[in-house]
Amino acid sequence: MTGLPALTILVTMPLLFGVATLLLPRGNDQAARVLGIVGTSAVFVWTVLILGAFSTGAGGMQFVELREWVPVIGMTYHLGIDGLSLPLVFLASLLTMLCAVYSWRLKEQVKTFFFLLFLLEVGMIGVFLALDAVMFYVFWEIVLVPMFFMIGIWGGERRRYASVKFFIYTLVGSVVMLLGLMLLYMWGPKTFDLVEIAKFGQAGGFTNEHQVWIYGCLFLGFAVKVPIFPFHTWLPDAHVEAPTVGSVLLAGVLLKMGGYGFLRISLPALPYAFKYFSFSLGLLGVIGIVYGAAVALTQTDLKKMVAYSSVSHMGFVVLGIASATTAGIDGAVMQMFNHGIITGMLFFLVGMIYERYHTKEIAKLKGIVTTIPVLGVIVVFASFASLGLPALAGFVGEFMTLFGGYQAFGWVAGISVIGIVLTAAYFLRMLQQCVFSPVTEDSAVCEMPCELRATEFLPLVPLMSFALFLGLYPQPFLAIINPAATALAAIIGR
Amino acid sequence: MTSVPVALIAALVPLLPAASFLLLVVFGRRLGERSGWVAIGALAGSLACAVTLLVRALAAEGEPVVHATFRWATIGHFGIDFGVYVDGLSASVLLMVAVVALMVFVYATGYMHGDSRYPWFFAVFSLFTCSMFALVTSANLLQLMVFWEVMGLCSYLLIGFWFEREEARRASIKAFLTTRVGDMGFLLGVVVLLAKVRSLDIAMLIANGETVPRGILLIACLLLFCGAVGKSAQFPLHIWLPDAMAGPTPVSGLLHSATMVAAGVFLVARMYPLFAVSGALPFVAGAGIVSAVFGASLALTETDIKRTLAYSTMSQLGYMMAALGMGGYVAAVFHLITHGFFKSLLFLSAGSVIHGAETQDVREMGGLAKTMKVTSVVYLIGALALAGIPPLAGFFSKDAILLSMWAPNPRLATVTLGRPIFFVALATALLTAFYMFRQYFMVFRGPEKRHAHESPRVMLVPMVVLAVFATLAGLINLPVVFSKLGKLLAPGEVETFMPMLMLLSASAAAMGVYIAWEQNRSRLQNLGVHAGTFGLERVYGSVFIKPVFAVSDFLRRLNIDNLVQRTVLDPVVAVSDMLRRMDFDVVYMAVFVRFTAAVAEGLSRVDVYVIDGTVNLIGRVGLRVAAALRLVDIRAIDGGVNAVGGGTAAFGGWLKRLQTGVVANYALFMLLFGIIIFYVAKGLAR
Repeated sequence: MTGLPALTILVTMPLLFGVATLLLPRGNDQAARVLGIVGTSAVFVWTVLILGAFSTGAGGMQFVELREWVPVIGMTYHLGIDGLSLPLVFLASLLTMLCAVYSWRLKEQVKTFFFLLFLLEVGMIGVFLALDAVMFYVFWEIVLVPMFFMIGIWGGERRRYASVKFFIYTLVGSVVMLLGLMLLYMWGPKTFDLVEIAKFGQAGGFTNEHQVWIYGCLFLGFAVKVPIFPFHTWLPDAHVEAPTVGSVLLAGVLLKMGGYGFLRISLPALPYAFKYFSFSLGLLGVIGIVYGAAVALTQTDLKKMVAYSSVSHMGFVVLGIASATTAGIDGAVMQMFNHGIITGMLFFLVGMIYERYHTKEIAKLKGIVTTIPVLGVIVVFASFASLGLPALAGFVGEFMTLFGGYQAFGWVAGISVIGIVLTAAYFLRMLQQCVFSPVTEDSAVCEMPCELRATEFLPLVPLMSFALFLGLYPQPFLAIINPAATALAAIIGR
Repeated sequence: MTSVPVALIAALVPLLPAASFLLLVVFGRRLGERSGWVAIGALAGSLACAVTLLVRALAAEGEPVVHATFRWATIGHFGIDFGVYVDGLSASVLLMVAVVALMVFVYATGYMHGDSRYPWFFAVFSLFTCSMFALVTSANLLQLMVFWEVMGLCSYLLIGFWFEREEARRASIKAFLTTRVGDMGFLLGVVVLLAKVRSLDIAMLIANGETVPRGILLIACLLLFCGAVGKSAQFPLHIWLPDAMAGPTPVSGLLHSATMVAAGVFLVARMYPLFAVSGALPFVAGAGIVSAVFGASLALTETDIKRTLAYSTMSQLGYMMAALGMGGYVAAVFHLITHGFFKSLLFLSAGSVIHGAETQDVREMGGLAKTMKVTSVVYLIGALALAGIPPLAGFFSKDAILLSMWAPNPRLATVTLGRPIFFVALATALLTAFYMFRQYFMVFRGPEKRHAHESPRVMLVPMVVLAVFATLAGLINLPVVFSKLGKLLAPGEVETFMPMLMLLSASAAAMGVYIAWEQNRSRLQNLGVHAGTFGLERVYGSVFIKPVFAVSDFLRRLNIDNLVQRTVLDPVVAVSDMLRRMDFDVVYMAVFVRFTAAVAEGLSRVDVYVIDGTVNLIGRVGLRVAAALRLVDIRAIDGGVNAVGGGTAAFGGWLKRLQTGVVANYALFMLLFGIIIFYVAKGLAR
């Protein structure tokens, strides 16, 4: 792979496939599907190759591509990958591929769908690779558009409301974030190169007052995306109305962009402000953990419950990031990856349930494990993974962020265990209601061949494997993140 | 010290059942009822390994046999190494668990015969034994916690194994959530210890515990103890255990008597030096003795054969906890082992009774000794052992516990509690003997109330084997003459031996048995039972009770039993009835569950009305203002949305209708919240 611009290839590959999809002759849906799976698989294979060539022990950026682009405004073409971004790039390309497989049976506007999927992949991967503020912003905004259309075209009954709410929330967030990025340029080293800005910031280039203002602007953009309490109300609506694939990518990848932003930009460039707001951010994380779980407990809609569980789980990410300890950052990245895997799995499952029963009402769904044993067992597995059962992946991230939080904030972090208990409560309640209870006359009926099809089962296999493997033996994964996390924690001095 | 083969043997103990779990998950359906024997084969291998380890441990004279680890995770700057750590404690508990598990597995092939989910049952059973073994041999506290929770999962799945039944579903959730409340304490305790000691290696924790400030160490140990309270069904987190009896009886006989619930006691024993240094032992003793007497009292009020045994388990685990709290480390582990044998024996026999008589209510049983000969004999052995009648296993271990309370270790802070706790424990011993024998008489003696049949041999053989262990297990630690276990666990510790105390504890037990017998006799007389039956009673009485307990016979002649009945038993029954009427379930339901539900409901209203409501409110107000002032920025954002939306013909129309209101709302709301948070955060940072 040496000599090739590996990351440029990675980010343009889905774009080329997307264009190719558009160029397919009208009405040739099957070709679009095949191209979709082949294209996303090719991107995934390329990601795996990069993962293989990535040198784990070394800190710092690898596969760096740095060229001048628009020198007048200090914009560069700068891509790179490190222990922070590699897991998230891997997650994005894996989930996109699984979504393509899952969408094999899609009937409406197939070509448009796969084009949007490729476009989304460009944005998602680009955000994690970009080391230039302008490029970061462009990729950030690219993501917004396909997701908006996915919800708007293939969504549920209230899709218009949901998609507009999603769009406005994130758009306003990103507009303010753009202001923050421009301030980084104006008050900073007059370049958009994030590495240069970080060096400048750590050398004390920004005044404390400037840091605080820039941090505030960036916070709004990132906070909406994560989402951090109280900016989360777009999420349940967006999820409930989004099609399955939209939900999987929204929860699986898009939410991570916010957490990544904190670690890639705010922390290295604005160490003073980051420390200054550290406790407040951690507190918002803890509130999110407990609050999200408590609200999830009252939900009657299966998908909405999973959506609120995301608010709760992302609270751990926020707590870990805010702690700015090595363990906390390690845990935050781990938790982001795990949440992508596990919640992605849950949304796939909810989609399969909805397709069969035509309802997401927890009260109407009954006896899934007796009607469709395989589906029922996987729902149980995913629920326990999500509620943080040790030996499954979710626990490792939660433990590490909790530990980091304790190191930084003491007993305040301990409050979050209330959220862990509540999480167990709502998942077990759901399992009791939907999976284990006997079928009655007024419960929903499975209205199609119930057994899982291959295109439904296949995407679940890698997700289950990761949830199990990372829980049993997380060290190889942590070894990738650790050098990057150590470097970040050292900036804050923790 | 560490040689590869020994580490491999130790690793095989949990890995063999793990392999059987995987095998059964994948091929279970094809194997059918052969899957039981796959699991048994794997377990037999584990047992062989466990025997080897114990032999090595006996030779090692207090040194750990194996301590081999690998890097499991790097948490910040701290490496977490998982692996195997086998010393006298783990080797002896391991062997008990392996023996009991093997017997219960064999029994279950008979008990679960014909069940539609037979392979699944043995798969989860295998996973459970795997995690119990891995827990006992844990080298790391976090590893211990991981398998602790996996056992919790198995418990959940097995209690709810017959999930068609409403009560099984309820009980499984209750068990998981109640123990999880305790486990959160455990989790925080682990976090605190990692932060302060900078390692979670058990040997390191014990060696470096003293470097931690005393107050923090006390908090950490109490947090760990919360986990033990939940898992070992100690007061006040005991409520899940009786309900857990909704699971199949082999589950009760393995998880909820001998092994999983004992893990809490094991945890305290494993971390014992840390607990001793921290000053947490008085709390352990207090929680233990309360649970002991409370569980025994609740057992008095139960008529369900399995629920009585469940409360008895709570009581006996409380005994062990109290012993640990009083410095009786060896005594507690001794009782943990003997209790494992006789309590699982009792559960399996109870299962046999349920199997044969098709009821769980002891009031509907009676005279079963006629049809279920083997069951009645082994049940009697189990009951004698539990009651603490010499020379059965329970007598020696219970006596060791009482001794540790009478003469507590002077180095520990609990000495002042010694006497009161001793007398409560003695009274509990009497109660224990009483409720066990009342049950025994009601089930197996008297007139035959319903037709029953003896269980198949595959169930009887394991019961007989366990009965042998329940009879002889006391031999592992005979006072003075053969204190093998004591030498294994605490080499160099000075032994004490008090014959008077033995007599006292035996008398208490005998008294309990005797009262039960008397009560049974008068009950039968009141019922106007035939003299023949009564005579039989008398014969059994002379055979089993009179010769052994001359003391109680003497007491009878003095007519003290009436006195005892009035002064001791009646008040106890009255109190326990009151406790029962208090009904913890109802209280907990009201206090915690409803409260949580109400708060959650409130918060979700906050979400809909306050947070989203603020959006609308600000939007409405904002729109007025905006309309009045024609705010340019809102226009600009509108325009932006319009441009994007308008780009797609399909959305243009409705977007125009929506944009004016909604856009302003969200934008203003978010900015406002952003500003509020910004300033609150600035305030907090100062």
